Amino acid sequence: MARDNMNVPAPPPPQIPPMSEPTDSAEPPTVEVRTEEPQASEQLKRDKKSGSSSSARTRARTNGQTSENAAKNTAAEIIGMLDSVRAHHGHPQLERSSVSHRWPVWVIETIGKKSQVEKRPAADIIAETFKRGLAGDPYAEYYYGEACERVNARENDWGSGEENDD
Amino acid sequence: MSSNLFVRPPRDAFLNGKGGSGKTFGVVQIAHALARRNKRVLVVEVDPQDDTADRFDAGDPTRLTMAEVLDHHNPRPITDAITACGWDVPEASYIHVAQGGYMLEDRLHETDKAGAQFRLRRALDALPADMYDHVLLNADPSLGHLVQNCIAALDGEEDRVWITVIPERNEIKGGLRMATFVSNFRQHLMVPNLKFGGVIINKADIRLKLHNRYIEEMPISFKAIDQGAPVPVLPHVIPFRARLAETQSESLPITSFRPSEREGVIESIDALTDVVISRGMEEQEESPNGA
Repeated sequence: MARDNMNVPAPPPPQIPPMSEPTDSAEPPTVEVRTEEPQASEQLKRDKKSGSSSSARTRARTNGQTSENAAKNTAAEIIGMLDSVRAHHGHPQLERSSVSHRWPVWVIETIGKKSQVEKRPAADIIAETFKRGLAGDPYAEYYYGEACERVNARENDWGSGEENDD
Repeated sequence: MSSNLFVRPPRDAFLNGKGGSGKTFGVVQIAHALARRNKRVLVVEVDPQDDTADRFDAGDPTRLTMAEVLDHHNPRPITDAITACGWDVPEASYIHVAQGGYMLEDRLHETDKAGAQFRLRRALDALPADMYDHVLLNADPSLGHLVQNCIAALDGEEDRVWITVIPERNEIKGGLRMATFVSNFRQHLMVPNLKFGGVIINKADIRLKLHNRYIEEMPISFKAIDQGAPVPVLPHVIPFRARLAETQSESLPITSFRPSEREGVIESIDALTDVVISRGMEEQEESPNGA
């Protein structure tokens, strides 16, 4: 390969391509719904523009002052997960029978990690998330109850230091 | 066959059927080593666990993910999933990550669609040929659909499979199983001439007799796998360093650690990167422990 020759000047770094225009499709979109929390993405953009040494997410691991931003990011992430699941499966009763073994693991792992990082009870994070993303949603109570139940079950595992891979 | 087969960058897939064998670590470190040499690298996350963007501090919720890129009904261009490395080092600008996401799990339900195993190949073929110098694929720890997509995407003469292992029983078993799988099924994935780059040993603790024994035995184990040509076990073993676990949890580049904390690691990775650039070893030169 010619570029391996040390005499060849290095190419400029690649540029992030612009997003393509969405195409019309009769099929339902499967894009993750992550845009309901504009503060989170704007924060990330500001971090990139400011040349910050690391993102809010990384700083939150090492500096408690930015945990609020991390909370917003993670809340948006959890909301995106829940909304994606709902978009795909539509009805909570269907979800209970067909995917309840799958989606809560991802959601709950995220809540659990966030709880550990921020040293806050998982129930607070769940309540905050649902208040933010599912206000007025008729199924919010169902999700909240389900999530609390599962997180509580998982917290027992975390407390004992044992991994539960489901 | 892809239309730009002869000009597109080489593709490297890092595989092992066992989780925790160092696939993501290998991809991240080799991508970083390539970037330090001013090589433009695209790392493609094909694991729903989606750790790669996190390691590079690269996740961007305003862009799409590989889940949408590989969607059967409405596939989006891979360029829509590309994000920038967030590390605070100059070479970070040479690293891009096509971010993954847990929704990649949903692609597993589309295995019955026509051409499903070639979705990743099609997505990569659509990349501008001169955009990157190397494309690295980080697969999930399985022999399943996403891994098969990775293998099927290696349709160029310069493309390679790299098996990552740590010198412990289950990880070696996973590596052997993966090597056997690739050998037996590459023709079914339309890449009959696909070659192994080699076996990359990492997190080796030379204080442990067990690790030393496995490192010594591994060339023999992998010699019998690939019909016609043994899978070479690369002699550049990445040593275990406890502090480097923080490269994962803090999304930091390895160069940000003190030399004493990463002793021997960068040297091994640089040597492995030489092998990656030269597209693997022709034949095994020496055993990994120098015996």
